[in-house]
Parts: sequence; structure tokens; C-alpha cells
Amino acid sequence: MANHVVISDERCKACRLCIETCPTHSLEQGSRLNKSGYQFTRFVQNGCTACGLCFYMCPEPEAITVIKDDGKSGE
Amino acid sequence: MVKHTKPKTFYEDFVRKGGPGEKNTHYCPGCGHGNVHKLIAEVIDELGIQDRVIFCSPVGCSVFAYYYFDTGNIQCAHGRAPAVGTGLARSLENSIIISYQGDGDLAGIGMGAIMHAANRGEHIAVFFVNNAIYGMTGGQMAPTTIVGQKTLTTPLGRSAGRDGFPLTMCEIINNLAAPVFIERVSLGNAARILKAKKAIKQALVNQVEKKGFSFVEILSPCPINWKMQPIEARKWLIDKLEPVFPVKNFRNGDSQVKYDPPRPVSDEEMKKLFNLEKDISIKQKEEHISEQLVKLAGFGGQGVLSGGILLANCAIAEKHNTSWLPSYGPEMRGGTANAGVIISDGQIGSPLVDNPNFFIAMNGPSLDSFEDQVLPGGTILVNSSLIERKVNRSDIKTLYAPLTEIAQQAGAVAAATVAGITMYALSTGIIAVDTIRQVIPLSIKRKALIDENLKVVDAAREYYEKNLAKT
Amino acid sequence: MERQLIKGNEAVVFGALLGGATHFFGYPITPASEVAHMAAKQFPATGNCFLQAEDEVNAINMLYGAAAAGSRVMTASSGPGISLMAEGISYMAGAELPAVIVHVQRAGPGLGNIWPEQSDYNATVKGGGHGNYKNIVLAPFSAQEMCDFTYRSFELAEKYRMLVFVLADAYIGQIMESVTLPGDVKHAPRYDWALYGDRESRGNLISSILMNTELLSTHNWKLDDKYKKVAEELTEWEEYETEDADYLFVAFGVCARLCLSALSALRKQNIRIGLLRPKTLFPFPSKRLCELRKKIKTAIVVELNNGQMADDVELALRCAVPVHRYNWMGGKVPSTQDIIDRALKDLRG
Repeated sequence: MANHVVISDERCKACRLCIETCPTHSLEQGSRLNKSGYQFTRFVQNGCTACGLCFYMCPEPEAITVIKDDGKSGE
Repeated sequence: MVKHTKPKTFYEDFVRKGGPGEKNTHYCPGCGHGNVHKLIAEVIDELGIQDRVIFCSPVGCSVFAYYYFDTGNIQCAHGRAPAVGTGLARSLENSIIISYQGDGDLAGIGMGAIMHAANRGEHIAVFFVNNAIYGMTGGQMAPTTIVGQKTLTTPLGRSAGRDGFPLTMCEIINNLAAPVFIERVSLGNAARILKAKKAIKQALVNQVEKKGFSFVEILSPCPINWKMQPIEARKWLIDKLEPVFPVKNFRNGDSQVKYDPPRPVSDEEMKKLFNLEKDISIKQKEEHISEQLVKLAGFGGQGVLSGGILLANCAIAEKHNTSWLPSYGPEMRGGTANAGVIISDGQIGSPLVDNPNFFIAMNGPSLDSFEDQVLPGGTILVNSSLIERKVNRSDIKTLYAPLTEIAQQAGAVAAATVAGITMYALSTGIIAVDTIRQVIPLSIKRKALIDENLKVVDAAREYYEKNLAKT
Repeated sequence: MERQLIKGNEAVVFGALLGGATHFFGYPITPASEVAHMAAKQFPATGNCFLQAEDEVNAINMLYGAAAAGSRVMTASSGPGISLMAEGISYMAGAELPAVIVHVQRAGPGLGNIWPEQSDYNATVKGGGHGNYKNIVLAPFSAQEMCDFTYRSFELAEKYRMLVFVLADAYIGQIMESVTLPGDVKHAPRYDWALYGDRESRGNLISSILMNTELLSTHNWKLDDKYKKVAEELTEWEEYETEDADYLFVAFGVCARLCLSALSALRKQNIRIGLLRPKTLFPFPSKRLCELRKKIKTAIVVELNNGQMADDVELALRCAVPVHRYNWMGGKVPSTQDIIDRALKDLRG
């Protein structure tokens, strides 16, 4: 499976630092609200390199998980 | 493959206030504390030191850091984390002590604690989160608030003339010899955050390698109290804070100070060390003595206090109970000095010798002060070397002896009181002169001084037997 | 061990080390400095840690850290220094950390002077810092007790997870007397609450912050139950000639020594007076005093303060017995005769 970012909807506080940071513009503000009332970020595949900058920019421990394509198919 | 995810040093659930576990932090959106927490947790994972870490939480927004870090945790009073870290580090040689502090905590109320911990080169890693404002209390001026910055307590902006300038902690700590690592980093953007991680890692590696005090100042945003959006806040951090607080490494080296902790001793060694008593053979008397209330008084430097201790030591050697109480403090530094010694075979009540039954007056002012207080039937031993007048009272026994001259001729003018103690022994028979001779070598270290003191004892005995024995 | 001539302030250090103390953090202040001097010598000599802190505020926080690490830790200070430690003392009480504080009282308020007073009775016995808490307070009246009380204070502190004060005064600190040192060396065991920087202790938290009213209320009541338990188990005092006593001295520290001398003089004049000397000030021997109120006609409380313990004595006696307050302040210490004269006047009328 290709490089991608998993956003935990309920963990996101919508600070948008990840969106601002992403060099491939693979993150954007979603339209839905989570239970805390934040309009959480969503991932859009746009050539994510799994660089991890969004992860480091994000202040929340488990809002962002970065998955790197390890060449294995079928996952 | 998961490349970046929640470090395992974080708790699975963040249990707070006794409520159900939560997954989010309590920090506001865009706050830098979360970034720093993640970096520290990741580094702890990478170094494999989770079990060894003790995390000192400060007072401030990060007061609840212990919600998050699955390590040893201790919450500290405002500004005192470096002192708490000192107590921990001095107790636990192999633990990794983290002091996590904010700007009010570290550079305001805790300025003394951080400076001295740094100056001692304590084995702690300090992560100083500088967001130029008081966060938890709602946005007041911090020691690091920049000139012109508006806060609740500087509504028109910080005025250097009124409030002083922001404190630059890295530069200040860089004046000290002991720290091994000092670096200022920024959370302004992702590249800076990755550099910050390196500094945090170095600070913790230094703890693993037992190198010493490591200090990382982290410029961090506080969007809520800066009244900015998170992205705007990061930009402001780069544009406004970084010029005041240059982001750079100040020091990365080895400790200039080394301390070898003392060697532990066994219980038996300790007991031996504390048993100051040495064997002396004293013949014990059968009959009980009457309670002795002895006062010695004179100039500081006449050996009044040490003479009293000698007498008390002799009393113990002869298996009596004894107490010694000095005048002390400023009086000891140059003025008059006096000591009261009580010797008894019963329980000693008041240790104060208000009314002595034996008074050794080493100088005139002492005789003037205490003559009237001597109990009727008691004795005054007058140091006639320094006191010209006679005792006025007739209801007491008086002994006149040139104690200072006796000591001087024996070669130890400072031991005049020893001559007095010797005459006390001869006059009352409460202690034996032989006891004094045996106790002196136990309480004086220098061999030459022992001989001189013993000579004083002999000279005093000779004088007493020749001139006073029949009185 | 043999009897040795040891100063009260120095006896503390021998008692502490034999009692298992491993850490001393302090800041010099007259008349407690000799404790630090001797500690600076003997702690390193026995492989232990002595560190002069930058001030009392941080000294007590070093105790906080070391106690959290399961170390047997102590400090020594006097009034102004203890005031500075009040914050840390309160935090330690809240976090239930055991440690020992030797308080050699001088005269206050403010800088006062360096002569003896017992004017920190309230600040020490009732708390001193903020919040609902108590310290165990031991009141030695001799150099021997300075040693013995400090020796056992660490175990008491750990048993109840409380601070133990050894509350002396300048005279008991300065006095030199024959002291027999305890024969056994004690050591701190491992505790399940402490931080050791290892896997077993990893989940432990040392903290005094409980943000939820329900949690803090529960915590405070738990502390209060503990203090009640301490009162039941630990109250200690000594009585002298109370069997046939019509009158009773109540005094601690150096005043108890003065009262002993006054007592034997008054007994010679056929005044049947006894002495009750609290060895623990918290817990206070209220129950025993309450019993004694049935047999004594008058109590005399002798203190170097403005009557701080006398309030507790009056309360314990339920005001059933007149209480005379003999107080001296400013560093003035009465002579035995002063006490005798006043007692004769008050008791013979």
C-alpha cells in the first residue's frame, strides 16, 4: 500500500499545522466535526512520501500515524 | 510499515482527575508542549531508557506531564524542579532525571534553583519551554516576554524601562563552568522541530553517559495567550522571538568538573568511626559526689569553652554525669565567653549554671559579672595574672593563682584555663589530676600541644601544692 | 558503645547516620549550624551525601526529591530557615513523603536573635505551611535525646509517610553531655511507593496536586485518619513525681530541665509538684493530661514563648484546673530560682 497518513479523527484539534507543513499537499481540512467540535484534518493522496513532517508538527501524541510503503502488496 | 506513531513511552490512556482515560492531551490546539512531549517520548523510546526516567513536572501548563509519560513521575513546586532533581540524582545513580520547566517556573520563581543546579553540574536534563508568557494562569508577563509584547499584566506592551528586559537563559547559563550541553532550539516549523529533537536527544544521551548537566531551551508557541491562530503563532515565533533568543548551540562538550562520590562504609566501620572514646584507666571512686556547678568565664581566646569541655570530659571519664553549656554566638567572636559545667551522679536538671559553687574567673570583667552569683560556701578561683582586685565577699572561699603566668611559663599561654581546671581538681577532689593528664591527649590532636598542656597541668599542681594547699 | 561527650547539635548527626540517613541537604543558620558542620564531616566519611543548598527553599526541595527516591534524608535549620521551607514542607505533607527536619529554635519574629525560644511551637506542631496537615514533632530535652530521637525518626517518618520534626531549642542544641550512641545501624527498606528509576517503580507518581474536589477531599480525609492513628499509636511523654502530685509542671525541651531542678527544690519545701514532659508535641499527650486533671489542683506551663503550648494544655485539661503560664521571650531563659519563686507565690498564695 502506498505511503499515507492516518488521521485519528477524534484526536485532531484542527490546528492545521500539519496541513501547512505537508510538502505534497496531502492533507486538508475536512468538512466534518469530531465530538470535541473540531473540524478535523483529512488525508488526500497526493504523492505522500511518508516524510513524517506532519507527525512532528502535530502536537497531539496520537492524532497522526505515518505509514510508509514497504513494498509488500495486499495490505 | 508504520513509520511514525505515538511513542510507547506515552501511556496508552491519559487518565486525569480520576476520570476515564482520554487519548488527547489537555493542551490547547497548536500548543508547543505537545510537540516537546512527543520529541522527549520518542527519544526515550530510541534510547531504551523508559524504566530509568524520572520526569519532574513543574507548575504551569505542563504540571500534568505525568498524565502522559509512562515513566517515574514527580510533580514539583513552582520553580523547584532542579532542586527536586538534585535530590533524585544524588539518590539514584542510574536514573535519568528530566526537569521540564516553563519560563515563569525556571526564569522567574525558580531562578535560584536552576542557576545553582547548573552551577553544580547536577546530572539532570533540563527542558526549558520558553513561550514568553504565563500560560496556565492566563497570559501574564513572563521573565522572557519580549519588549513591546502585550500580556494581561503588560497591556500596553512590556516596557524595558519599567519591567526590564527578557532574560536569555542559555546565555546566562553559558557563563557557568559546569554544564556540558547548552542549546536553544525552536518549534517554529518542521525543520526546526527536527533540530530540536537532536538537541533533546543529546541532552538525554549525556545523562545515559553520565556526562552531566544539560540544558535545552525550546522556543515554543502559546497561540491562545498570544491571541493568534496556531499557524500565525509559529510564524510570530520565528519572526519575533528568534531574533531576541538566537537559536544555536552554546556548548557541547565534556564536564569540567568531576566528583567522586564517597566510598560506602560497612556498619561496623561506621560504629568504629563514631566511637571516639579511647581506652583510659580511671580508678572509680566508691562514694557519690555532691552536684558540682562550675562556671568558667573570661576573654574569648583564653580557652574558657575548651577548658569547660576538658572538665566535662574528665567527669565522664570518672563515670559521672555531666553537662556543658556555653555562652555562644556573637559573644564567642571576640567578646567575653563563659561556660557552665555541671557534674553529678544524679540526673542533671537545668543545664544553666546560674549560681555556681565553683567559679573560675579568668579576667576582671568576669569576676565583676559573676562574683555575686556564687553560692554561699562556694569557691572563686581568681586568675591573679589579670585580676588585680580581691574578691569582695566573705561568705565564700577564695583562691588566688596567676593562671596565665603559670601557663605562659609552661609554654602554652592559651592553656591558662587548664591550669584553672587542675586547681579545681586539687581543691575539690571531684576529679583526679591524673584523669586530666589522661584525657588531654584524647582531646588534642597536635603532639606538641599535648606536651605543653601537660606541662601546664604539672606547673599548676606544683603552684597549688606550694601556695594554696594549706588554705 | 561508650559514653562520649557530644554536643546536642552534633549528637543529631550520629543518631541520623546510625538511623540510616543517607542524605543531608541544608543551609547554615545559627544556632543550628553545628548540625551541618558535623554532617559535612560525617556523611561523606560514611559514604553518604552532604550538600549545602543555595537556600532553605531549595534545600527542602532536595529533601522532596531524595525522599521520593526512597532515601533517608534530613535537614537542620532554625526559625527563619524553617519559614522558608514552609512551602516544601506542605508539599511533602501533601505528597506523603517521609523525611526528618531538625529545628533548633531561636528567638523571633523576623531575624530576632540567636538565643533560645520555643516560639515555633505553633508553626511546627500545628503545621506551618498551607493546607490541612500535621507533622510528627519530637521534643528532645538532652543531647542524648537529640541523638536517640533523630535515630528513630526516620522509621517513624516512613511508617506514617510523614515529616518528623526534632524540635529543639538553642540550648539543647548547644549543650554538651555524655551520650551513648545506639548500637545498631539501621537501613531504609525498599518502598512500593517510591521512585527508584527502574521497571518496578515506573508507574509511581509523587504529587500533591489533586485537581478534582472529590479526590482532594478524599485525600485530606485520608491524611486526617492517618493523623488520628498517629495520635493513638505514638503519643509519648515522661512523668516525674506525679503519683502524689497536687500540682503539675508541663514543659518541654530546656524548660523541662529547668522544671526538674525547680521540682526538687519545691519538693524540699513540701510542695507536692510533679512534671509532665511531652516527648511528642504532635501527637500531644492530651488524654493523659485529661486524666491528671482529676488529681491536680493547678498546672504550671513553663515555656520560652507567649504561651503556645499552654493553649493545648488548657484544652486538654478542659479548663477544669487553673493553668498558670510562665513565659519568657526574646531569648531570655529564666533561672531555676525564677521558676521556684513564682511557683511559691502562685501555689502558696
